[in-house]
Amino acid sequence: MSNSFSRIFSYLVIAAISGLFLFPSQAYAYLDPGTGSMILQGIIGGLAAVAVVAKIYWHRLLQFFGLKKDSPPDHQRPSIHEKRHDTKTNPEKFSK
Amino acid sequence: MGYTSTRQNMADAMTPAKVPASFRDPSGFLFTLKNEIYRQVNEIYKEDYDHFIRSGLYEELIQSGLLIPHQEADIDFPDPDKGYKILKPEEISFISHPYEWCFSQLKDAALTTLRIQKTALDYGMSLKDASAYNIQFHNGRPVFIDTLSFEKYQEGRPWVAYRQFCQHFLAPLALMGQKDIRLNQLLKIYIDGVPLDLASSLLPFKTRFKYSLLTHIHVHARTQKHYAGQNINKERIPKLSRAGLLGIINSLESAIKSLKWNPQGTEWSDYYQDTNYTPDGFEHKKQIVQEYLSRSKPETVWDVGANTGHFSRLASDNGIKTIAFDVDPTAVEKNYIRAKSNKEANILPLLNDLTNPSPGIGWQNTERMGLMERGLADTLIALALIHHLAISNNLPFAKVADFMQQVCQWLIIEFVPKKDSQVQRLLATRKDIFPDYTQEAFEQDFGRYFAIKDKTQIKGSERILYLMRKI
Repeated sequence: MSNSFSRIFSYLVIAAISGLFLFPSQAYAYLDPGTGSMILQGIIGGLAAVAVVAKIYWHRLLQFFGLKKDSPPDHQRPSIHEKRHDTKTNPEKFSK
Repeated sequence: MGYTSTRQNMADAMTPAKVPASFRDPSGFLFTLKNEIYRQVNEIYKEDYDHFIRSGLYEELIQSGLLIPHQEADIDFPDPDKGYKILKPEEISFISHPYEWCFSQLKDAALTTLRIQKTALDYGMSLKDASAYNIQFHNGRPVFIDTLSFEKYQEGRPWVAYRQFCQHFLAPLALMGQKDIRLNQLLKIYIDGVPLDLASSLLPFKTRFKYSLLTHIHVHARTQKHYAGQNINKERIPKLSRAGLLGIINSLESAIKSLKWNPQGTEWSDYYQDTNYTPDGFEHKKQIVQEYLSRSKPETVWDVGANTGHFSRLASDNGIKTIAFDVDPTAVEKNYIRAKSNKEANILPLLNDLTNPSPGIGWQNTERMGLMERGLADTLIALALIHHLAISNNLPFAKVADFMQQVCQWLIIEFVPKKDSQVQRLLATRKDIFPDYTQEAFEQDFGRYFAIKDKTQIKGSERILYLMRKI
């Protein structure tokens, strides 16, 4: 009984995974990241990404109807990381 | 002293010696030379290291106090075939292990790790490990000490250290907060963190209704089990978008932040309210300890049985690096919270049971050093402790003295006579098999290892404070 809840959730997750198209992604590291741990991240990460996007649109919707005036807090704005993202292609930009 | 094993003698010190804990990562290794610590960066890590420095990530982490600073050093490579650079990191005065931390220390270490990972992602890098051993308390704050843990972030790749983070931080914190504070001791058995299936089976059922613990521990454990026996092509792991990765880091962060532990009254937590000193006596005791500290002029102090660190602060407030050991998680927690809120740089509260101090663990029992191999104290303070060792733990005085002369040069110790109410409390439920528990025997047995330099009776009490110097 004690495990049934998480068992059902796990089966749902695993079922969801098997429906996914698996992209090749280079995975090398001195640490064994663990197959299950890598795959789980795909799921949780997907849910998290959906949640963030949903939050932003929900906020915009409320703004549209004039139910909320302030802008969303920093951590909900993807732009912060999008901006900084430049460093990846242009590392010199941040060097001092 | 830092990482240097005190076992290393002077002859050895002239040739580079690899630090036993540093063998897993091919990117480089730690070594000691002339009792100083260095890190060789290997050629294989060149690209990542250069990016780490040039992108500004190193500077950012140093500015935020999250990483130990280093200087590039111009000395010979111990392993010249692989060498790229030699780094000299700033010295950490004492290396502590996660099973010696209280709840909030482990929590702060976890949050520091996640902050570093978020910062690294901003600069196009990612942590390739998330071991709790990579965090040390330096001048009162948690800092990351492994400069070679950063690798270039590849879009789409999941976080390789996710499992390690859950095992080293989330699982033990959840167990400590939701089940029993003493479960941090599992980290002493499992050197790579608490196995998630074990954590899952020990955690209360209610934790399955908390999304973060459900996913990162319970489902994580089950997913690991599901894929354990399967032959999956490692190159066919689902991609994880950058937003998804940040979502996971944020989710771990809120999971850690939401874990709380409120120390309840334990045997020791009300100790200061429960002693038989008069206010004058307590003040007198402080004066004597202060005087003995001035006479022994230590650079490092260990206060054993420090409780919440009242007397430890007589040393640390005067700029002396002080470790306040106690066996009680509540006392260590209260001590740490106080040190943290006052931004005290010289006191390090740590959990340790003197009757069973941290042993060397890991490969050949040398990977994580035992307590006494990590640098000793100039002065040891042992107040209101001797009766607990001698009576509760049946230790003869000579054995206690033998231990203490191994860890210090000077000793400030309080003798608590048998008629003291605290000793009577210990004897209340057991037969008095301690005819040798006398002041004369105490002085005689300690006199075999120490010269008694001074003794003072505390006002309004039968207790006596001694200042002793190792013979």
